[in-house]
Amino acid sequence: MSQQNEVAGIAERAADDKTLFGFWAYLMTDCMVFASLFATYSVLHNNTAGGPSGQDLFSMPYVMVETMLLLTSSFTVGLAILAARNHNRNTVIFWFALTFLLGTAFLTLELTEFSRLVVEGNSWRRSGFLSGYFTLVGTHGLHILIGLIWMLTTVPRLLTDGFSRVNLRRLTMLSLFWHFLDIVWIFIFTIVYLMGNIV
Amino acid sequence: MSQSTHQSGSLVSYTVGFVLSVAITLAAYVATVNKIFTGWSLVILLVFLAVTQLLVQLICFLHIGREAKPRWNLMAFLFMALMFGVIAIGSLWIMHNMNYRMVPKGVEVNNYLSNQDGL
Repeated sequence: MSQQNEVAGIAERAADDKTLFGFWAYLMTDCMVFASLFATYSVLHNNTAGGPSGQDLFSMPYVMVETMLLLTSSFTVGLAILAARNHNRNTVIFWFALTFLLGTAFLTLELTEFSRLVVEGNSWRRSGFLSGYFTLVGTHGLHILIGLIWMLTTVPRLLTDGFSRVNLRRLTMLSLFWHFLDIVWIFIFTIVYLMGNIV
Repeated sequence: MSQSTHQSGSLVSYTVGFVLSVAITLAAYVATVNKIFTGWSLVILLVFLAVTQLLVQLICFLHIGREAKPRWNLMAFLFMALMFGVIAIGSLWIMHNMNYRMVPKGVEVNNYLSNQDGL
């Protein structure tokens, strides 16, 4: 590699690092959004206003399936990034397609649960507990939806532009976003569903 | 080829992270549903398992701390964790205190009324 290319390579890498750090900073501020929603939920979770509590409403096996779907999708997005590093286009598309399917299945289950609650008269208007629940879990679901749309808009670019620097950067940010959503879900699973089952 | 900080994962680290996460999730689920633990001991166990899984995923999936020095990503994360604690624990603390002071128990109300009215 000539010296000129080497310098250009270092400059590009520095630009990558800067973009990824910027995205990381965004993720940290997004955590603050979830911090306030978790705080709100925790404060309100006993205020059922005579309505049902978490124990009455949530089916644990159902939530466990949701959790496993999201956890597996966090793994497959990691495999997609590994394949992207090796510029293995078909493998990347395969893993992202699987991630997309798992994410869609997760979101479908979540929206099914939401609509069941609303139909049974337990919407966000029922009690402080349910307001907190729908806001927290719904915000996470909205992030999942955004992640799915992001996959649809980013992954097809591999077919047109291949593994350009910009594309690799986009895919890396997308994978960070998806891992981050899985981590948020661990705490929703623990605090809302598992602990809701005992207290 | 890109060698930036977030791409330092390997097949081994992702697989280890996935297997550990599944195991921890199953443990938390079984402990809760089969009522192996109850009450506060279960709460403590669940918090412990959630934090363990957080660390597993941070290390195996997000490769935190494996960047070159200075570790700005790690520092931003630690500051976020501190603020998260302040917001979440602080809210619970304040609201618990407020409930304690603002919503008196039946006995306290009776005492207050009897003092006021001299009954």
